Amino acid sequence: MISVSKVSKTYGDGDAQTRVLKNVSLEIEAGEFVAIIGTSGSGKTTLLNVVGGLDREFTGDVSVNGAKISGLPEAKLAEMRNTQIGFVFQQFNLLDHLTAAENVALPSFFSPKETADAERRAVELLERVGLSGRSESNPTQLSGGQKQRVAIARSLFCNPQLLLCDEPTGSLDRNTGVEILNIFRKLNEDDGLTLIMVTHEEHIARMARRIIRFEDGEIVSDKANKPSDPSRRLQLGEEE
Amino acid sequence: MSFGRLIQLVLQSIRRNRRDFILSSIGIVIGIGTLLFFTALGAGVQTTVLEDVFVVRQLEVVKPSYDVAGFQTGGLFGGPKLNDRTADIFRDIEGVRTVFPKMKLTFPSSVKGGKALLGKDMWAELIADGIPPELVQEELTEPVIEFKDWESIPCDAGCPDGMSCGSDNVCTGRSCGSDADCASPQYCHQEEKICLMPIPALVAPALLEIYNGSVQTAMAGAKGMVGNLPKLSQKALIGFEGEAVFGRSYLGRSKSDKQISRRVKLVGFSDKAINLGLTMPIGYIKRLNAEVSGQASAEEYHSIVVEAKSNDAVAMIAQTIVDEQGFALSSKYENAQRAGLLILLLTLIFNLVSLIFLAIAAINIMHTFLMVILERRRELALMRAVGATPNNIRMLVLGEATALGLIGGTLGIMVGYAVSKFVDYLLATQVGAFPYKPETLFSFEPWMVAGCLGVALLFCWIGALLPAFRASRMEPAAILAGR
Ligand SMILES: Nc1ncnc2c1ncn2[C@@H]1O[C@H](COP(=O)(O)OP(=O)(O)O)[C@@H](O)[C@H]1O
Ligand SMILES: [Mg+2]
Repeated sequence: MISVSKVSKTYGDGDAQTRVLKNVSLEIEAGEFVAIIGTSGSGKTTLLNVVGGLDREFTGDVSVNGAKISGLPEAKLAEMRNTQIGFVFQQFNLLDHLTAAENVALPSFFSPKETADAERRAVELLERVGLSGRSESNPTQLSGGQKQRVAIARSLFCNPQLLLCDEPTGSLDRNTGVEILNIFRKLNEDDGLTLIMVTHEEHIARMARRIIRFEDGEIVSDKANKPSDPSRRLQLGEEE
Repeated sequence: MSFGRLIQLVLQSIRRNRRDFILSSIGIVIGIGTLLFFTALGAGVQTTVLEDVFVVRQLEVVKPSYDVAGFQTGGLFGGPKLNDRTADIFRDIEGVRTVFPKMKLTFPSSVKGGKALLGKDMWAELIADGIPPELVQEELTEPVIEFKDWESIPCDAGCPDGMSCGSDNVCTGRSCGSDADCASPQYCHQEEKICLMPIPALVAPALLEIYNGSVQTAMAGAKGMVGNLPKLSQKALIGFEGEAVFGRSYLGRSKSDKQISRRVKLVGFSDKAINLGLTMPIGYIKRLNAEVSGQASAEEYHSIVVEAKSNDAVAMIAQTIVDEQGFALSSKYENAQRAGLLILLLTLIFNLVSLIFLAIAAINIMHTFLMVILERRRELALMRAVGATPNNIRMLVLGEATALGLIGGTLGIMVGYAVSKFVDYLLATQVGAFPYKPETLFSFEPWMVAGCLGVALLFCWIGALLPAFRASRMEPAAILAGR
């Protein structure tokens, strides 16, 4: 599904040069649920943006769904982001002047093919993430967890095979974060979506089925994981 | 991204950035308002000046004059002639509505009269020309006597009151000893001893304006009789009679030494009348010229007036007449062209001012849009993340500029129109009468509205171009990460 091969990226030049990704290589199969964990500033977001085609300035090769994206023109990358990839961000990135449903349907504007009934599909997706009846609400009227649900519904709008989630629980309290993770887990297990999730929280990472540790632009470990059931751990009051 | 989707997206953005949108549009509204105002004003004034003052639709064709050692000589080398055949040629030129010939008296004449008005009869040089009577039939409502050639009415149609069929199958008046023998308004001609209708004559309104505006004022300080000339109105002058002597004046006599006297009666005022003198039905002039100066002088016209169907056709007609037919146009045409040019120039200057307003508006739009895209960079970056191409983003910003242009342009057109109505209202209620005062100073045409919208769009696009490119070049990754 995703193949990252010897990808490097540097910011700035001369003395101010910082290598953010150092020769990163990585294979992810369809249907995986991968957590990338690392300290702040280790280059996780950068890697995710490279994979998602939001960042074109890198060296090395990246393929998504068998298509090499390095060197792809911007219009093709945009189409790929629209049809094959869903993004979920820490800051939700909802548009406050639109309703929840309009936010969810936003990708339809840039879709190469007309979405028949975008509004109805948006409402259905909102129901699927547990937000029935809130489709006409404005993001300002929603809680953090609800906002992130809207954002997830939006990422699903064009039926992508791949979700890229950058600290999706970073702005949420622990309980809400776990609820969001349960949605991801369902999407992965029931719908077979491939999920790559960046986080710096250990208990969130442990809910994935594979954990990649990232440090200073390099992968330091890459292990399969038996997903924990966070709800039980929460009940026991266990800390990470 | 489909067109419908783009419109939806643009409308969403406008709804959201209503305040910035209104602020950006103010400049466009003002700019377009002034642009339309001045364009319509220019066109309106042009219409008044060219159509009412210069009657530009009428070209007066004269014989070309050749400049010989500083002397202007007309037709010295037997240039083209102005006769009925020429009139027919002019009538066939494309865009010509009517053609009418004018003939001047070709010998010195004088006129005596004015006792009723001035207290004492005065002698004056008589300059007269003739025009076809049909030409003024419509503008002369209820003339004291009909403007027509009373001395060549064919008997077939029946003779008017007091006339009977004479020799040559032409109606003539009865013989008489004094005016009492004749049916008014006919008079008894002292030498010929028959009743005659006075020659109906027309005067140019400009003559009266010049008299009232300058002569009367200037003479007011003079000694003697001319020192108390009255101010005259058109109404007071109509019906005024004088005794004309054709073939003799202070300045000289006709070559043939022939003299003919006739009573002349002023029956109306017309733009088609000669500027300084009297205008009569052309039949009289033809007959007088033939009798006093010989048949040849009765066959050639002094000028032929060509009336165009529209103002647009005037230039083409003028060109055909001058270049192809070899005639000249009276100086009135040149003056009209000069006046037209002046008005056009003033209109352009004022339009330039509106364009400066619009340029300022465009800069304002650029600033506002740059600010707005900076405020909205997260939103735009997100759109990129969910599939917008840089081109989509450009189209979105330019689409907003288009909406701005359409709305600002429409409002500007409405404002410009409203202000023009207000100015017309002020003109009607606050400004006193002046010569050629029009009902409206403005002339609105569909192309102006379309042009204003186009200009509004153009300036909005110019203003939004840089912001649109900036927006499309933003790096979504960095912005979405909150950097
Ligand atoms: N646009 C940029 N310009 C300069 N440095 C950047 C830029 N984006 C990221 N960086 C640097 O790259 C490093 C990795 O950033 P990031 O990938 O966001 O880390 P993480 O997501 O793991 O916190 C950081 O040191 C950050 O300061
Ligand atoms: Mg990060």
